[in-house]
Amino acid sequence: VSVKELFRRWTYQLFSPGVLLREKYNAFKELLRLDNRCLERVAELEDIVDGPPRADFARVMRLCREMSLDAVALVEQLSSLCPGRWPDLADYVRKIDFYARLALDLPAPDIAPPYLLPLAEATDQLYRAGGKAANLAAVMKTGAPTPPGFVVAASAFSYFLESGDLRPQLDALLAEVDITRQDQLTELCKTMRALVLNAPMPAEIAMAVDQASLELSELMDGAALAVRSSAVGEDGRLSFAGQYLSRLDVAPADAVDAIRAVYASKYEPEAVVYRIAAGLADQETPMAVLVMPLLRGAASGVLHTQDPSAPEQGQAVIYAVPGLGAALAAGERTPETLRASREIAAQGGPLRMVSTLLRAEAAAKLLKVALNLERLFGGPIEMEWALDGQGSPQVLQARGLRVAPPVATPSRTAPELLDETPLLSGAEPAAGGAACGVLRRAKSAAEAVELATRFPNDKNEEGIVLLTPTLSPALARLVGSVSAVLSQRGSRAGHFASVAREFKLPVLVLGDGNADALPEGALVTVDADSGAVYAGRIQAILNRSSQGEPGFAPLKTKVGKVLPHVSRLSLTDPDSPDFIPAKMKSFHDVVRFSHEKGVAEMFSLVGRSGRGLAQAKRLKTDLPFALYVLDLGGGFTEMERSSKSVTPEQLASEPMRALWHGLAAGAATWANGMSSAIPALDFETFDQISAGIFAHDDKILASYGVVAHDYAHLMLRMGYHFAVVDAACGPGCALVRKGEDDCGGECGVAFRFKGGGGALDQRRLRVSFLAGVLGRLGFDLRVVGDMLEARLGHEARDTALKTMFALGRLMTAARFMDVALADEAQVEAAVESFLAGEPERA
Amino acid sequence: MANISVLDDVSDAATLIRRILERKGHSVSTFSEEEAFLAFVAENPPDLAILDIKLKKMTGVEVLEELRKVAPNAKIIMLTGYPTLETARECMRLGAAEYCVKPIDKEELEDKVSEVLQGGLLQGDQGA
Repeated sequence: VSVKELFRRWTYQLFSPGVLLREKYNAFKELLRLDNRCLERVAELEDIVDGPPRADFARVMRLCREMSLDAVALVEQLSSLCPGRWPDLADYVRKIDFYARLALDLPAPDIAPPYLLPLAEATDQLYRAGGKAANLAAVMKTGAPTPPGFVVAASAFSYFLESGDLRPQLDALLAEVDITRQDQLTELCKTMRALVLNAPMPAEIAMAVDQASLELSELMDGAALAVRSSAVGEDGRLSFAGQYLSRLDVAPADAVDAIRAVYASKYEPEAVVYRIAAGLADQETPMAVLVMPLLRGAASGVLHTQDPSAPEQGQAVIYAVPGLGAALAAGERTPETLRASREIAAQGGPLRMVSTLLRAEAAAKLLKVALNLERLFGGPIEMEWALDGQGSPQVLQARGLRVAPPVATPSRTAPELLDETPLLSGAEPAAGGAACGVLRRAKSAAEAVELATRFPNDKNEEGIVLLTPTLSPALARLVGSVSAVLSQRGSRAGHFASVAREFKLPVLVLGDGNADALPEGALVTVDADSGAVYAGRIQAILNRSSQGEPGFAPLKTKVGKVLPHVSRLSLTDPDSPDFIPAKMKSFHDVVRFSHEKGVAEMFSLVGRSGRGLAQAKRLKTDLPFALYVLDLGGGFTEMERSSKSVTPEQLASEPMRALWHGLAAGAATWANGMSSAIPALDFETFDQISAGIFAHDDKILASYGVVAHDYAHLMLRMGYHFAVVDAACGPGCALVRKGEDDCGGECGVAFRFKGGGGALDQRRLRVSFLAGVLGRLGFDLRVVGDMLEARLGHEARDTALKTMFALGRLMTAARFMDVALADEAQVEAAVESFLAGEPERA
Repeated sequence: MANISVLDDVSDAATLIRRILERKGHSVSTFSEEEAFLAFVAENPPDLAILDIKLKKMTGVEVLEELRKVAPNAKIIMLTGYPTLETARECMRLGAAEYCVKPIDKEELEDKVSEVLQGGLLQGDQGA
């Protein structure tokens, strides 16, 4: 603090206390605003780590950046409230900021040449050539038949983004993505693709691609080219099946444009959703591109060396379609399916299969090639193949096949299903599992997306069981938005089926005409392990299904590393000697420290000088409840100015009175053990559990309120978190803009509740209870993590006051919810019990 | 207990670190000159070295590189008042176990030293 500032402070205190107070009050209000915003961000970040995937890594980066700015602003406000008190505060904030940035730091993208490499050299080059090309190069090395080709390296993609300065623009858009908000997702993705499509290809890449394309085409007698994605991470642990574009039938001169189109496909909604659901950052999956000659054989398809739907039968399956395989992968077509014993196929023995598309020798060769490749991949594989012009099979792509461990499928006569007649049975499981939801039909993928927009998969409602004509890969974007998918056509071999298996989304192929029996808009249970659909919710099936998480969650690992620097709270006890800046470890600690010290300063300031404003007074009551109230005008009835306390009867602030009556009524209810949902407690236990709000008699550790005749702002301490109530009722209130006597329905109540003690599950249940009650009282609610924000606006004065009374009761009740609530069912009961116990206000 | 060598151009800072760590039973040598430090560790490879980054002649990163040559098994904690992501990445790449930012208090220093001596995970763990 400069001498000048100190001097100014003393001068003001001596001559103009009003000005100083106003400045302090403004700093304090700003501090509360920043505090609020930081806590919201902490809650959102915790949600990203704990909840199902929704947001991109770019959002995490942005949240942390914003929190860092807010933390700096917060300590500035605190410093203007208490100049010179903590000279090292800002240093510690900078330190926390650095640790947070370091924890989120991703390796800088490789933008170095060479930008092209021959396919044969791509073996083991996962990070340069991408998974698909590296796999195919390894296949080529075993001597299996593969077409020649070249790879545009991942570093070329990163260089392309860098030279167009696209990264910051893409990140800004990605930070807005919520994978469950389909309409917004469509728009954001469209903008991102436009950015990519309009960016120039750096000359050194374009020239090299032109030349290599021409050479490849000439080598293959002027063949057209196939330009296929080979993103880093694709075809490795994750399939990214069908998420990215392949351009077929490309003239060599158009290769650069095709490559750019493949780049842009990285920002198709389904690809973005897949990547986010898999927990990868955009920077971690740069796009390499594989360029090969287009094969124009009579047939193409997919081969599984182990039937994933029945691995115990030891059969390999060939799926074949005429011509190019695109329609098969796109799930539009039900292919010819050929099964063969693995054993016989391995011995090259006679195969009993009849095919209109594949000659026996070609099928046998295909199986032999595929089975040989199992050694390379260490298990069953999935392989894309095509016949070349001479009718000889070629491998286009190969990867390890996910074969789910067999699920113990109960027979139709299993006891729990005896009474249930399925609406439909015998459907082909394309991805296993079970789910329940409301059946909704869509005629196309676009219509499905629209449906998901109209009926968001809210956790409070039943999800959607989507019925579609085909298994389009575009459905992948609905992975987080629907509960199950039923399709009339398609197969396990489609890309969408692969994606669904990875994310444990149940998918059934019904066959044409079989969907007619399914009632639109009705609740159904899909058993994708046994291929049946039942009416209503059948808990036995849902319980049986393996509902495990997908086997990967690297975003949690990545974001988890930053949590100690962002959301973990170390400063919990303001009484402890460790409640100092040097012990702050996270932004949350900075918020906690600033709020605690800011509130204390605000009150001690008024308490010390007492000039300009009445002193803060302790509310006098029999309840073990330490609440200090500061009057901004008209909040108390006439009384001795020197009085150190105020009785509830002397409260003239209407919202404060209403709240107080509620608190008192609530405390009386539980003291008498009147409520059945909440255990009876004596005041001793009450003290122990309340951990702060009702126990401490210390001014610093108490709860505080700022009141005026028509206004109340309260910070009620709950353990080491706060409930904040802000209420305006009447002409003096902050919400009134007209300044008339009659507030004309402009009264409002805002309520915020965050955290408290207990495990996260417990805190969530408590928030659930609060939300249940507040929702019924007409509040608009927002729950982020374990933080609840509730607003009731534009109400008549009477309603606002009644609401304050209810809030008072509610907060007393909430104190005990951690101990009283074990699950959601109990939450509902507690909500009902609370509302039933609502007595008329005296 | 461990042999620890500390290099900080402000000798008071090095002394403070020595006091804290000696109380934990470690044997600590402190230096404020790069040459003296490197000459010493070449003869007496430490279990752990704590390096400031802003030094008199060399940077801490250069000392880190030299140290890796003469005492490849020494664990290393970098300590700086002027952190940047670039130097942090560089230090991790060169094998530093921790990159710590000043001001550092007694408890944090003790924790980091004991974590690193027990072979704890790299804090950065960059994209591994």
